Amino acid sequence: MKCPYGTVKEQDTTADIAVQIKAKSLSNLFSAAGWAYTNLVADISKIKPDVNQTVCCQSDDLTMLMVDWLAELIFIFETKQLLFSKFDTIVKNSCLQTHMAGQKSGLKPDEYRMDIKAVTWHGLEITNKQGLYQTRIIFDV
Amino acid sequence: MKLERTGQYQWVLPVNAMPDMRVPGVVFANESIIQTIRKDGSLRQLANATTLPGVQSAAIAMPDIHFGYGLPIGGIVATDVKDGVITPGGVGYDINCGVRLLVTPLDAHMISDETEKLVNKLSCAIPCGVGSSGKIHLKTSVIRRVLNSGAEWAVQRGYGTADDLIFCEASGAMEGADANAVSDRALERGKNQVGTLGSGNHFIEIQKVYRIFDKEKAGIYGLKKDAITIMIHSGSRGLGHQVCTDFIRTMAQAINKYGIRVPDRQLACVPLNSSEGQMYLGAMKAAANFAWANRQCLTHWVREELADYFGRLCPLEQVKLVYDVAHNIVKIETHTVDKKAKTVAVHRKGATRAFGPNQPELPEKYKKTGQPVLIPGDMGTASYVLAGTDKAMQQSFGSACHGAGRQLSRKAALREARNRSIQQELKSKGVYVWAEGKRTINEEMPDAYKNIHDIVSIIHETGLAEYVAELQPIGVIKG
Repeated sequence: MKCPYGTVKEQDTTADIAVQIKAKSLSNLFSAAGWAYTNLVADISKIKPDVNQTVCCQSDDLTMLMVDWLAELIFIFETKQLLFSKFDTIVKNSCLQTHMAGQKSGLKPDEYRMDIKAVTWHGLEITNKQGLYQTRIIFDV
Repeated sequence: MKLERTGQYQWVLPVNAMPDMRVPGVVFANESIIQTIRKDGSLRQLANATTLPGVQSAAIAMPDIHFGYGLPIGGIVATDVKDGVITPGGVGYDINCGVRLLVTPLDAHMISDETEKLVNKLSCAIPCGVGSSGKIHLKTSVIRRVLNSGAEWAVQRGYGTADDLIFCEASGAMEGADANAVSDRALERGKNQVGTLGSGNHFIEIQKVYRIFDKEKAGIYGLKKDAITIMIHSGSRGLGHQVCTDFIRTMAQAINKYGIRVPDRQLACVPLNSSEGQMYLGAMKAAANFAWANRQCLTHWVREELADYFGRLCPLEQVKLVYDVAHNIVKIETHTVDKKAKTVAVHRKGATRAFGPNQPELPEKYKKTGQPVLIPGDMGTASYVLAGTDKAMQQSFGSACHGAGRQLSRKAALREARNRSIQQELKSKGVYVWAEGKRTINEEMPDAYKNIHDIVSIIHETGLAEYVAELQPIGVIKG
C-alpha cells in the first residue's frame, strides 16, 4: 500500500529494520513516519480508522521529536494494542500534535509482520533537500 | 577503515583510524568475518565507542560482531568508574537479554519420538510472539519488588529453587537496583510481561548434548553425552526497552552540561558518577533483575511441562540450571588495566561475560573451571558450552561472544526463504520448529546467521573461552 503522506522505503540493516522517508512538509514527514511504523508491525490496509486518539509531544529538537513521537506509538501499541492508519499532524517549533485514527489490532498472531520494540537515534537526522524533507529511521526489532 | 592484523584471529583499529579516538579498537575475527564487517558499518560503530570519555585499553569486538546502533552487536567497552561515562547505547534496548541452560535427566533416545508433541505442549504453556502478555499480571507495587529482587522474587513465589539463584550471573539480582528510577511507562509495559518469551530471535530450544570436548568440566557443569538440555533466550521485554528509551533521551539532554561530544547520539552518555549516570545504573540494574525474574518464570513452566509429560522420568527438581548469562548489560567490575587493578564499568552489548577460574563472583562449584559460557547458534546447527579463562580476563574484560551473529538482514533472509519451506528443511535435519508465524521462522533461518562452528572456534583458538560441549537442536519454540 502506498503511503499517502510521502514516500516510505524499507531498507536492510543487519539485525533490525530501517525506513527511508521523504515528504513535502515536516508535518507530512512525521505522519509518514507514523504510517511506516504501523505498516512495519502489520499490513496497514487492514487497520480500520475506528478509534480516534490525539498525541502531543514536545522535544528539544526535531530528531528528539521524531524519537518521542514513534516511541509514543510503540508504547500505545504495547500497552493498549492500538494501531493507527490515518494521521493528521502539525509540527511547529519541535512540538507535535497528531490526530490519529485506527483500531484495537485484534490481529491473529501470524498476521503481525514484526515486533518493533524501540526507535533508535542511530544516524537519525532530518534534512531538507530541495524542498523535500527526508529522514532515515532504524527501529529495534 | 584502516585495520591492522596483529594475530591469526586479532585485528586492531588504530587510534588514528578516525578523529577523536582515545584508544584502539580490537576485533577477534577471521579473514572472512573481517571482509563482511568492512562493508556493514560495524567498524565505524566500534570506532565511535572508542571516543567515549574514560574508555579503557580498547573497545573490543567479538567474532559475532555486526551492525547495530551505538556500540555494535558483539561489542565490549569499559570505562573508568571515577572519570568515565556510562551509556545506554553500550548496553542496548533489551537490557539483560540473556541465555540460560537447563539440563534434564532425560536421554536423547527417550525423547526422539516425542519432540514434536513436546514442542507443541511447551508452545501452549509459554506466552510468546508479538505483543504477548503472560500468565502473571502484576500491580505496580509488586513489579517494584521484582525490579529489586530479580530471580529471587520468582523463587519466593514458587517458580524455582534456591539453587537456581546460585547458578545465575549476579545470583539473578544486581545489587543497587533502583525501582524508583524506572518510569511509570516502563512499569506499564512490563506489568503483564513477566514469564513471556517475546519475539524475534528469542527462543526455547530442546537440545541434546552431541559432543563433549572436556569431560571433567562437562561433568562439573552436569553435562554428559546425549543428555537433553533446554536453552532459554529472552530478556527484559518492553520494560527494558522503555528504560533504555527513557535514558538515552535523558542523556541526550544532559550531555552538553558535561561538555561531552559523541559522534552518534545513540551513544549519548554522562559521567558515571553524575546524578543521571547513577540513576541510569540503578534503572538498568532493575531492568536486568526483571529479565532474570522473567527467565526464572519461563524455567518453571518448562519444568512443569516436562514433569507433566514425562512423569517420574523428569521430575521438576531434576531439571537443573547449569547457568544463566546476560548478553546486554553494564557491570562494575575490577580488571587489570596497564598492569594495575582498576574498577571499570564494562558495557557488554551482545557479548557474554566469560570469567575464568577463581573469580569471586562465581559459584563455588565453578570456581575451579571458570564459568560456563553459553553460546547459542542458529536453530538448525548447534550451540556451545565453553568455560571462561584467565586469558579473557586479560584480553577482553572477561568477555566472549554471545552467539553466531547475523549475516543476513531480515529482509534478505525473507528473500532467501522465498519458495522454500524452512520448517520442512529443518524437520528433515531432525529439528522441529514451532513459531506463531512463518515469517519469524524465515527471518531466523539458519542461513541468516554466521557459521557458529567458525565463531566458536575463534573464541577457543584465541583462548577467550575453551570448548566444553556441543549441543544440537532437536526442537525449537520461536517467539
